[in-house]
Amino acid sequence: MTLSAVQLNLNELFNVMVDAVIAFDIHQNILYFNRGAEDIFIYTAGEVMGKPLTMLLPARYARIHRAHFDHFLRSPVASRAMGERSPIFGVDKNGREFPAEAAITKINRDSEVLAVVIMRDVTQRKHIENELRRQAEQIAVANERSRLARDLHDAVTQTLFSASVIADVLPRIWERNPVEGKKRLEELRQLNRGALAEMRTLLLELRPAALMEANLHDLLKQLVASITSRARVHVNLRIDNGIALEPDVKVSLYRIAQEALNNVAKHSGASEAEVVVISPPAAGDAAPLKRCVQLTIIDNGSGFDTTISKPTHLGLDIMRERAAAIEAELEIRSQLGKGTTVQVTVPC
Amino acid sequence: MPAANPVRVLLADDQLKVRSALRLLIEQELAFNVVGEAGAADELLRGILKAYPQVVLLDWELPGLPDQHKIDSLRLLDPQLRVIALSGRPEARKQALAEGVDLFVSKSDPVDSVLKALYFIHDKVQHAV
Repeated sequence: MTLSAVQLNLNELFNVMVDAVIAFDIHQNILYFNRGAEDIFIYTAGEVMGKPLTMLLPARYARIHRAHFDHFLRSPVASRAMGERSPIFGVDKNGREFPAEAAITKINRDSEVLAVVIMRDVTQRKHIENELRRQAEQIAVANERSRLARDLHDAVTQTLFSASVIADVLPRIWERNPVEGKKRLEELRQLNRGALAEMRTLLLELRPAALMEANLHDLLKQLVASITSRARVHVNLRIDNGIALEPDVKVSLYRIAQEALNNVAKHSGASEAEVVVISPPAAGDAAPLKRCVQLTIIDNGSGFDTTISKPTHLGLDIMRERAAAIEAELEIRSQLGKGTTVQVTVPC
Repeated sequence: MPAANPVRVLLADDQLKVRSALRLLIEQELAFNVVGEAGAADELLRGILKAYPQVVLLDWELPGLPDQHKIDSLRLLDPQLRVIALSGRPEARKQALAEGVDLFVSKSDPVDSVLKALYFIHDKVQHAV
């Protein structure tokens, strides 16, 4: 086959492509415009031949395109995908702007340099991508809501139910035995305090901004009260009241403590647990917010075999993600029958 | 009240505070006797074999129960067993009744509903004797 026959075949090939194929010289004057380009841009080849390529771009991109193009001509790279720096757009004869994907190639022919762009209108795909993203967000919101509803049922409802049962029988008990009555009243008070703490913990999930605003001492105090109410485990909290951490560190530590204490309440069967936060003392009142801090959660429960536990189990992957996000080290030590220790260390 | 022959009740709920409150409530009634407590499905099955309850106050979300046919294994142990399902989720009512519980009480209903349900079962059990 002769070279001209190959060229002829290439021309036929370009004309059955749905993608736009546009060739132009170093001054960006259009030399070739295939049928796909005619379909996408609505111009006929005759209308654009010899005219500047910028007529196919939104006006605001003309200058940056010129700069990118000159840079490409000088670079040793023979071809590259366009739009790596920012998404690219085309504009058709009717002025409709559309998102596009394109690749550009340089061809050195005799002493001349040609550039060929292959381009595709991705309006439809972008539309589907946006729709998928929107649906994924909706599903995430729905999942989050049903998780909250479940937590409300599992925590607050149980506590309030217990409280209302006791309140219901209390008058009769008091009449017969005031000492027993007082004991039950104290139980009722504790249940109510617990319900309040559980409620506040759940409200934080509804308004995550509140997490950013509150200090770690108050957050952990409330979390501990909420766990104590849900499970009969005594949790001791040790933390400086004045500790001031950067918000991302604070939120991650709270989330890790939340997962660890959930495990203590749900799976460990522990009777005692301790939450300890250690941080070097601040250098005065006006000291900047800190990162270096260590959080430890210890329980005396049943423990688990760390070598066989799946990461998704026990929220271990959530804890790892949270720790990685603040460049902290997470250590989980556990042995069957010997309790569990979760320790997060954020280096200074 | 046939106090000489109280109905035997077993409490099944994973939360100690709920069991403790229910026990307190039921202990005020001479017509009933709390014969056991269970915090999970395995304890419940053992409790049925050991304490011969006539009725179980069953938390519908008791850990260890299957998602469906929750009470089949209980009735296998004792076909006469009466079950009152208790749940914090009112929407569980339909499934619970379809699976054959005698009565369903939502934990957000007035406390009276628990006693009413127990007395309803009490009358059935006494008539059956």
